[in-house]
Amino acid sequence: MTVRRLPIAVWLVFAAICAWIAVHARFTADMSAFLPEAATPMQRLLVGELREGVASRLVLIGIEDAAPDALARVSRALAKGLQGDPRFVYVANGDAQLAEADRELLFARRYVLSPDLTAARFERAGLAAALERGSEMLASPAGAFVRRTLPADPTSEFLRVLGLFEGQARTLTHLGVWMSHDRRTALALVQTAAPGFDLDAQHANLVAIERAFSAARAAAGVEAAVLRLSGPALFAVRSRDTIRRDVQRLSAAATVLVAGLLVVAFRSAAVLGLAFAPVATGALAGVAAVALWFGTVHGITLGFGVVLIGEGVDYAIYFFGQRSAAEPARTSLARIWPTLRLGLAISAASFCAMLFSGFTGLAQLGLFSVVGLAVAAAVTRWGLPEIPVRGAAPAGAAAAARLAPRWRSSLAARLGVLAGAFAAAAVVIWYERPIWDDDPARLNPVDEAAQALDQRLRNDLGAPDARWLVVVSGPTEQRALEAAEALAGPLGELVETKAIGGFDSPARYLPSLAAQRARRALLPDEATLRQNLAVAVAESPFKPGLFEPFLRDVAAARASPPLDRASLRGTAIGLKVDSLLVQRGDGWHALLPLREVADPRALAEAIAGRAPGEVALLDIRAESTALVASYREQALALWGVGLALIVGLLAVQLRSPARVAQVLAPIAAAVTGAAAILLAAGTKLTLFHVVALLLVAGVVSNYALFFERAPATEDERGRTAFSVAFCAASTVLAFGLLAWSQVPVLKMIGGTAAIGAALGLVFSALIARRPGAA
Amino acid sequence: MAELAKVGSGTVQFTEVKSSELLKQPIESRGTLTYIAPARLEKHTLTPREERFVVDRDAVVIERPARQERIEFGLDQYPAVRAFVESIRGTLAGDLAALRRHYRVELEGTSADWRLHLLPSDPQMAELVLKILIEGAGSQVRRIEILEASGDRSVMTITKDRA
Repeated sequence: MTVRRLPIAVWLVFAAICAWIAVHARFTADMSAFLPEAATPMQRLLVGELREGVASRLVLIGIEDAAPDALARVSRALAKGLQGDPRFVYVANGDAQLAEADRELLFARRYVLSPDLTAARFERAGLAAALERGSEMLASPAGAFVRRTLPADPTSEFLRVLGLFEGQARTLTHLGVWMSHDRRTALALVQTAAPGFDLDAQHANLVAIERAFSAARAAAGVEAAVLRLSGPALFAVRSRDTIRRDVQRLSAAATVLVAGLLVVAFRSAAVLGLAFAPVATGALAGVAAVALWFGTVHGITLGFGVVLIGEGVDYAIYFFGQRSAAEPARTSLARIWPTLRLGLAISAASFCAMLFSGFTGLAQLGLFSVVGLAVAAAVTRWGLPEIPVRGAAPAGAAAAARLAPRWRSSLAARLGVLAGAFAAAAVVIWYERPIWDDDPARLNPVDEAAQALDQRLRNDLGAPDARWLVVVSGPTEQRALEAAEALAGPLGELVETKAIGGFDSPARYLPSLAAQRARRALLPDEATLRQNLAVAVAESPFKPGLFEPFLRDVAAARASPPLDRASLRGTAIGLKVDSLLVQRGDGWHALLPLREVADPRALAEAIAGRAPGEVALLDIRAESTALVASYREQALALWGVGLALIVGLLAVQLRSPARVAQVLAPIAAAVTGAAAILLAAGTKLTLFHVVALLLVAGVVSNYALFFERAPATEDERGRTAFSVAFCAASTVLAFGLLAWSQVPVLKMIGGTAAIGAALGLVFSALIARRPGAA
Repeated sequence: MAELAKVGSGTVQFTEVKSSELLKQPIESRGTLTYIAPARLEKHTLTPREERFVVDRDAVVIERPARQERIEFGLDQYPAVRAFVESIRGTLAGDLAALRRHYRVELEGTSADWRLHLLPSDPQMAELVLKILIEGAGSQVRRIEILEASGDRSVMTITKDRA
């Protein structure tokens, strides 16, 4: 046999180029790639917030395992170490010195921030009442606190402004720093400059926090203290690590297992090496294609490489399995190529459906698989036959041939069995309704212990777990703020009637320019105020001349420029405004989180139409669930498209409705059977199960096609049985390994596909033909 | 301290004089002070204006009937209030450990005539309150003086035991 060098040269150059691209590709593990491409503006807002909103930039810090006083010392040292680092825009641990900027800001701006300022407060009667109250407060146990601000703020505007933050659970302090209620955990909060989805930056941030903690622990002399971190960025970084570890571990395991199978079956080192050549080239080409098309490669896509090992190695196995000493390699390949080609087309059709899905993640999986399989098939077709391999006939073929089914019953009877299996599975599925689980938490790759820690730190910090959100929008920041202000009245009434526990609004901390102007207009000029005050002080227990700071501050408030976003930067208030007032797409959105919503319907009615533009009430939990459900529906629709493509391909190739039906029968039985087994085992189906079932359809169609083809000889019948059994074994192994992954997406796809492939092998064997049969 | 710890609950009358740079003359108020072991303290001011100040563990309620006012908050929000509450509550409970959590504690005198100097250790508290001096005889507290960082001073004299 002559060796043609051109195909091999082309192959090697191609593989080298793909490898170069793959090595230089950027990898991500942003789980929001597996969130649907949002359909509605509200969903877009939600997904945007998840990806880069302020909440995605928060790192929650807990310091534990030491006495409370020691924890407080470490907390103080840690905050000092992190402050000034440009990677962290905000560091808070409850320390009064850290909050000083906030207090100063609130105090300086108290007149434009005070929620219910009236002109009467600055008239004689109002001032007299304020002073009387002031003297009572001074003599009370809170006297020392009131005394500091009384000369500048006799009308207690500062206290009213501080009240804006009340109702939002206060964090307990110990020796001036935040501490959990059991005083076992010192708490702190950091906002990173980088958005949550920038995992490289977030990884560096986490390392920086850990370093600062080690230094703080040493400085405070509390070596026993341990650091506990949580937050979306940490979860994302940790998921990436989990995915990376899983991918490495599982692809290594899959390679070893499949290699073991090959050694047992072929007892040839050359076959062992060559069988991986198509799949390795395919995987490189897949990664390169994804990198070129999407810019980045998702970790989960790589995880799918494991699956590709299971499926792509099949082509080489079909080739080596069909080899016999009697015919040249190119001839055996030409003989099986039409079947291989059809199998490839069907697999590609099922993966193609994923290409058009809204999930960037799924689209990546689709592209990776289509390119990978096509390249693996091409290498098998044009590359492998050019490499002479001696003794490549399968040693296990004879054994497999003995095991291969030798049906005595008629094909019709066996199809009847398949129909029965299908019907039984359908009954189980019907019985297990509802079959869908659209909880987005299923996609969360973070383990329960980490989620529990997150919840604990959040509770202790009093961070809201916002479920209900009112969103109002406008073309500019000011319009959005005005819309939020328009809702303050109706929402306040709902708090009164206890329909809701409370609400927050960006306009509280950054009133619109119009509201600030209106408040400034309530302040009297200096001469009037001085006159009114003189009368009130004369009748009060306070010394005259005491309230000069008050006169000065009111005059300053009348003249000062309006409060804007820039003046809030670097404060907790600024952080709040950043999280509640966001620009997304072509507009500004004010987010008003609600607490303890008792009566959603009354709420929806009370706020409808009360602000300019659309007033959207968002139940985040319901919204994310709806998002996942809509996505699953989309996946089902794609399923239909994939199935139609498969049927179409079969019809074109087989040219007989009866034969198409025979090939479809095991596919249908395997898909419904796998779904029924999952449901019976108590697993509700998610959209990733849907995707996995589509894979099952593609894989099983290959088996069915090989069995459906009437073998020319007894020998060929054995080899077919051997090839298909081997392919199914490698597929079940590879998918089955994925089921051990800690990444839910991979676990769901792997488990489902392994069950489906195993069923598919059995069901496909049922339609096997006798040698020579037409 | 051990003698105090045995006392448990009881109500006493007080006269408090608050003197401040801000005031033309000191404000004098009278009322009752009730301690219910282990963690409840009530300061009921009767004159010049009725005010009920109740602390139970970390929860504070202030009621001013004349203004129909009721304010609730946590001790953690106001270190100044905590300075006042913990000193009296810790002393009446005879709980030296509790006092040491919040103050540097110095005890002088004899059990028949003792003085307890409390210096706040929490920086936020220390910014407002310099020192609290509690004087007593045996299991009776006779005088509580709070010296604020501002120079203001409040002297509470326990006049009569009603229990």
